[in-house]
Amino acid sequence: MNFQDTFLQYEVMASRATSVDADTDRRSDGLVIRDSADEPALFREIFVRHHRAVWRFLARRYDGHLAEEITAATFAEAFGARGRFDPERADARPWLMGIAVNLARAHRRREHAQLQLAARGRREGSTDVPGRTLDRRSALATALLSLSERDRETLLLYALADLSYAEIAEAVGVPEGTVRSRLNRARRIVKEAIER
Amino acid sequence: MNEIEAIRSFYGEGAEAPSDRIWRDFERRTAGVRPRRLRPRVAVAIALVAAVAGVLAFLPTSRHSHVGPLAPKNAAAATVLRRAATKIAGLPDLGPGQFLYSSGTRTVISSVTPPGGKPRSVWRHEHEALWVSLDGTFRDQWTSDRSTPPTTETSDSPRAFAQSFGMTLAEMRALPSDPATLTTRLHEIDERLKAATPATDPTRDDPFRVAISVLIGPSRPAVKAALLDALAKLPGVRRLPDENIDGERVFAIAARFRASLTKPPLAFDHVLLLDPTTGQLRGARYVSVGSFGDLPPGTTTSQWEWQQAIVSKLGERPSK
Repeated sequence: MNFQDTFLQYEVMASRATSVDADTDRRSDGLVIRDSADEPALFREIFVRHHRAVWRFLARRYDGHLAEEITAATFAEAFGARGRFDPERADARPWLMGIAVNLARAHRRREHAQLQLAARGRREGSTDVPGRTLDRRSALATALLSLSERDRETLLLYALADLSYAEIAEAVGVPEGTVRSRLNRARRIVKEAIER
Repeated sequence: MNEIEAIRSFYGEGAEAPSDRIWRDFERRTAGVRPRRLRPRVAVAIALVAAVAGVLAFLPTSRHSHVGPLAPKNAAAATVLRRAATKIAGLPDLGPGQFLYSSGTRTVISSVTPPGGKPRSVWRHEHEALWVSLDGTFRDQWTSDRSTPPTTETSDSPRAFAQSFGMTLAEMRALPSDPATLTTRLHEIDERLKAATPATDPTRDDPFRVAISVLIGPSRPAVKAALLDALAKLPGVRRLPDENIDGERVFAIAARFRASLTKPPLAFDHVLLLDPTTGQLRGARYVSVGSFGDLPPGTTTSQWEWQQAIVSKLGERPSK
């Protein structure tokens, strides 16, 4: 009784469809954000998709509490500005990173202080860092401090947020060529510092 | 190590994002315009609709043509479905970092053929527990009294979720909360499922099939409410006498469907059991209208009971 076997093993709570291509029917961020203008609850989906990336980018540069605060503020600002997001854009991550970078600017001094500490050869909360590693960290921190604000932000968006040139351009609102030249300059300075 | 790797190493990896706390902070910052503010308005709107519908249902039929064509039992079904819709709209939505825990027991008739003997029907009991989060993490624990060791499957694959619920998580979360638009969208999904269901499986003609996925899955409460509202308008849905699960009263709603492609053609009543205090789906069963194999008409061929809760950790079970 093939029929019975098929039917009786059918799990009522689970349709077990096999034809759904889960990877292709994810709605783009642009469409979700567009629809969230009429139905704000949909914006939660954007939070779910991107809050970890934003938090991770910030938590690597600031302490955890500050990273939490800036991440929440980033999404709150994005929620307020969702009506201006281009629905043609598939990925909201660059936009969100741009907001996060702007908000984090207010805490620049704190980041500088941490870099200065590292540049002086000390590492917060650690006493067992080998000498060579310490020298390398110190050189890198010194190099990062020597960069202009714009160059350092571009470099960190590339290295820590994994954004492409085009995405960084979208995040900070400059042409892609400008991103390329900023990144080349910053990479060269850091490279020279750690190879010395 | 190049300069980019050196920078990554310098800044470290960072810990796990405290999603719950960030979301609560986000909600606090957007208080007054935040998504949840919508819910009470929806709930009030649904309550008003339900109240009006409830009053109309008890007026002479000539005064309210929208329920007039339905049999008296159908009008009663519409009333309780709308009442359940009102309740479910007020439930909290699943938040980031949280898990929707669902667990249930299922009893199904299975056909067994002993060596050299004739096929006979036996009952099989199963228990299943699911944890689903909004980031796509999905765990499915399943045990059966007729099978080998319990299986546990944990996956963050969108495919695993889709295979269980008949639609992707993103699709489920994006379902509209307007009953008419929702009906159209669910019909599209149902057509897709039909294409993937063997003709010998009568559930392909079941009008409640997709509805069950939406009711027990991590869809938004407003969507669940809209679905119950839409079911209230489904022709042929009728109310059965109230039942009990674990000593608690539940509403019973049924829809009859014919499995047109099976040989011989079969008919079933699909019964849904709804919690009157929360509007949540607590159980369901298939009842064969005619003879089913060696079983007489009216046999329940499968039934299950279900409970749901929001928990904060993968694998956590509610205390109750």
